Amino acid sequence: MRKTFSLLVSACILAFVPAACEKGETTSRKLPAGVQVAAGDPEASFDRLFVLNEGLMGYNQARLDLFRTDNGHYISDAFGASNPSLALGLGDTGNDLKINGNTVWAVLTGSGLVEVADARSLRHLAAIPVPDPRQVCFDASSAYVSSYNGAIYGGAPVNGKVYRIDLASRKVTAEVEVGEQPEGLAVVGGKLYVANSGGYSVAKAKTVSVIELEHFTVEKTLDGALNVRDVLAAGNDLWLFSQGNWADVPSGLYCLDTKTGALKERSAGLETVRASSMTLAGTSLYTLFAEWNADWTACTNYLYVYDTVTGTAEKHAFSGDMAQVRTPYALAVDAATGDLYVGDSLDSKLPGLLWCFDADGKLKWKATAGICPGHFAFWKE
Amino acid sequence: MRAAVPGILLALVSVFPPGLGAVTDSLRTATVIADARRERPAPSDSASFAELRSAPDLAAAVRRFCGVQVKDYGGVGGLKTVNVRSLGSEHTGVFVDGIQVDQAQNMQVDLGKFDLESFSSLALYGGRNSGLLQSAKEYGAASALHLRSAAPVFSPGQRLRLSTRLRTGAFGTVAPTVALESRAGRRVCLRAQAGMLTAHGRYPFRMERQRLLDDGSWAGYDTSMVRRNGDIRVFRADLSLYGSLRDSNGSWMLRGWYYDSERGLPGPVVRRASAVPDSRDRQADRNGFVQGRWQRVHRLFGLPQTTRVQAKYAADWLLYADFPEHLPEGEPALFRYLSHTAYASFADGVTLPRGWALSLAADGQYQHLDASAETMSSRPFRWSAYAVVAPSWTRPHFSLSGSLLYTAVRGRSEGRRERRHVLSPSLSVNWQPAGGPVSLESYVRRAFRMPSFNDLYYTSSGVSLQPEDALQGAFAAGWTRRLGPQARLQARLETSRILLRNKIVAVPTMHPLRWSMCNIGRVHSFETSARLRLLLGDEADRKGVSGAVTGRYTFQRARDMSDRGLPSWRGQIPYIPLHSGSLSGWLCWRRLRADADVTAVGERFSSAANRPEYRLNSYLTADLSLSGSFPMPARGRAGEGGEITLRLQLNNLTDTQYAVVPGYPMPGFHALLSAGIRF
Repeated sequence: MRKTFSLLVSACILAFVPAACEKGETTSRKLPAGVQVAAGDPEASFDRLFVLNEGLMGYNQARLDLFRTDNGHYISDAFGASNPSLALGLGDTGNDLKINGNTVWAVLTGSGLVEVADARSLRHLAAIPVPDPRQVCFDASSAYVSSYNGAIYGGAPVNGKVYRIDLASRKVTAEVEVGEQPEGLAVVGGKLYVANSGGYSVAKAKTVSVIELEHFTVEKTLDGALNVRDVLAAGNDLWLFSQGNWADVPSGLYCLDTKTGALKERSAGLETVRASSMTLAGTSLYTLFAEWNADWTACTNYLYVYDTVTGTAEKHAFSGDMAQVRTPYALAVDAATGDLYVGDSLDSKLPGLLWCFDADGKLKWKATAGICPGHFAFWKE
Repeated sequence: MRAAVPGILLALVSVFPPGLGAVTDSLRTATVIADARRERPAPSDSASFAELRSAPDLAAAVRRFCGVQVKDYGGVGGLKTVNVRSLGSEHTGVFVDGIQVDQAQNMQVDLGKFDLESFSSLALYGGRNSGLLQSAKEYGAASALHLRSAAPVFSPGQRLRLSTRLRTGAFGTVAPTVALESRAGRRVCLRAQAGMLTAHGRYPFRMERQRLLDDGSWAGYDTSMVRRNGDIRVFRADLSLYGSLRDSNGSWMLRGWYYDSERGLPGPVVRRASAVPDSRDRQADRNGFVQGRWQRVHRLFGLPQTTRVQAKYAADWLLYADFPEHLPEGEPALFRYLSHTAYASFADGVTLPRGWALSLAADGQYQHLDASAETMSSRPFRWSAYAVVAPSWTRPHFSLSGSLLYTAVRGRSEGRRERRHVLSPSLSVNWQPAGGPVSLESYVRRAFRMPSFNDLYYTSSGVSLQPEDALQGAFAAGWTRRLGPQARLQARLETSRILLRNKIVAVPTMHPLRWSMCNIGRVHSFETSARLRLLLGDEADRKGVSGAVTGRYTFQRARDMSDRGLPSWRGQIPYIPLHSGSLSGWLCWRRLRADADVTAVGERFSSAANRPEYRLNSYLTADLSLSGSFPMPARGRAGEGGEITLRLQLNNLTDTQYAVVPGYPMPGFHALLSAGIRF
């Protein structure tokens, strides 16, 4: 009896679902209002700040939030709200977030997908299957996604790959094998540079693969820095954020001169910089770093600002308003105002916080984000 | 499944701590029942032999209990651990015949490993166990789930009994079991049991999410999928010997248990590219233990006393194969764990004049873990010593008992050392005003759990960890009333307050594989549970009608008080429902029997930050079991006729789609049929 009833109910629901799906795909749902966290500022240097919350691995918790400057509203899970009929939402383990024109690209490592959404409405445009995707970058016609290519921690060594996606068709058009566990990648001077981290091996890797784009083949492999996660292109320079080996080699920043194919000499200031994430604003590189005590029971959080022109570094402890941040996890800097956006992952199981500080470290606003707010992207229409 | 007469007797004996243990004849049984009835306090909750047999599995039998959450990852092979009073499963000791199943690596005991068939009763002690005679370890566990077996009972002249059973149905389950019970001598009897289980483990499920949009309309998805890679193969063997001592003043028991399984791990349900296959990860387990108990009632210096010696050796082997999801031809990464546990316990209870009694117990344990993978290997070990002194004072309707447990631990791994001492006291009072139908009890105690090897050695900071501390205080009232010759009503109300301090919490560091372990968690919980049970008729009466209905309700508020600055401050801790309850009952007429169970779990959160996006829906499941036993013609000698039993189990009748752990859906409606023969 109950069974029949529940079957009837599910039949009704199922009958209604295709209609809902169709509707969701043809017309975008309006973005929800969200909550006001700051005063609206129509003159801001950007319209939207997208926040990718990574979520815990295997929990399908990746969420894309956004902050609108026009009315100062913060919209949690804006992608999910825009695409309510997309089964299982954004997906599992967000690992990178980039803007290309008017589209947002979110890399979902656990789902094996690169999600493309409209930056204005956050409407789902495409989900491109890429095995083990890590990070994404663009040139005029293509997107490039680095991939671990099935490597697993503790397993046999497997070389990674880079996939090329055509921006028009949003389909994978080519792939090329690179080194172990490739991470950050960037196009500089018409060539694609991919940092191979070797993160799953004890020794780690320190190579950068250079891919020429016409035939999409590896042209040469350069010596880079150890266990690189992110790269940033600035002119002909490629900045590498090296995570070190978690043992005797500390983290740090390195600069690869793409003209010569060699690392530049590090200035005394640069040598002092430690990092657990990196961002570039204007001519300054910003990094976050937590210094743990000897028995790993307490830590102090630091912000490093490195001036790429003068070669000097400043080290600021999180003090004043910034001392409220527990676990600085990711950082974005508005180059126009110097405002700092800090993703606070707390214990990485609780929903994290997004803090906005002005250039002097004074709190402007904060919002509750999702689990592990780890990637930011500014968008101006 | 089997005759109800010995069933209810066994149940009564074994609901209580194995006071005098093995019983080999009905006269002895009667004595033990009489003794056991005096034992106070009663367990917080219990399940009799008959109730056990009707449950789909052990986890399902346990989750009916008051204040219990079974963390179930779904399916035949899904991990099932028990959490009592929102303390965490590490605080719940699982005891098989009075000896703890200890797992040093992560302190989680998978209830799925045990076969319901090899136990005759279940008892859950939320506070302190009763009983004069307990091992020292039992005093330390915040709550204890006792799985008890009892010696087979034979009718006069009977020497051997064989039974076999085949269970089949949903998930491609094929599970044959054979058991042999025999009187091996005048004072010894044995039970040998072996069983297998194979299942493909596939089942359909639905994932659904509806959102309320700003314009007031609802939109969402409802998608159907199939759970794959949940296949399992299990082999179990169990041999128990029960004996009584020559002068009938004592008993002994020896049990060997072996479990061998190989299963697929279906992994969480996440959004996937359609080209990506489901998880291919595998797990293999081999677990075995040999344990024994000897106990004797005797007089020393003119004082009656009971002495008990227990010992155990257990070996647990686990192989976990992580297959590369995106590389179909890739080799898996293998992680192997082998652990050994050796344990011995000595307990002595002396009855002193004027109602006084004194229990003394001392336990020792050695644990060793050998973990190996291509990226790491370590071999931690730990020595533990427990000593307890527990005096009690009993008047006809009143008793007062206390205990003081001292625990010392020494351990080492790769140059890191641990050294710990913990004192845990307890005090409990029982009062039955004027010997009437009402009984009252109250206790306060400090319980703790040691950090696991995972907490200590596979992290960055583990060695400075302190044990997790649980201060418990509780008050319980029981009431029993006869409603005429054929009906009894029992009620129990229990309320408790627990302060969990120094909760071990993992905090991430920059190192992707290193977590910093800290004693920073703090949980304040308050729980009230009520149980009402109506018993009708006598189950042993094969001509009439008998039955029972039990209703249980639990209110649990467990708040995270760790840190004012966090969004979790004062939030209900993950997976603990505020309201939960169950209604279960059985009805027996002649040789036919029906069991029904409805379990309801209120809304929960997957995060202590109780925001709507972490809300888990409430759910209600209903199980029904129908069984009948039919006699076979007697073979020659009187009283030796066999019996055929048929049982149909209909689980999750309403086809409720739910998950206990997000991403691990539970099966919907499924049916199992079992047929057994016994002679």
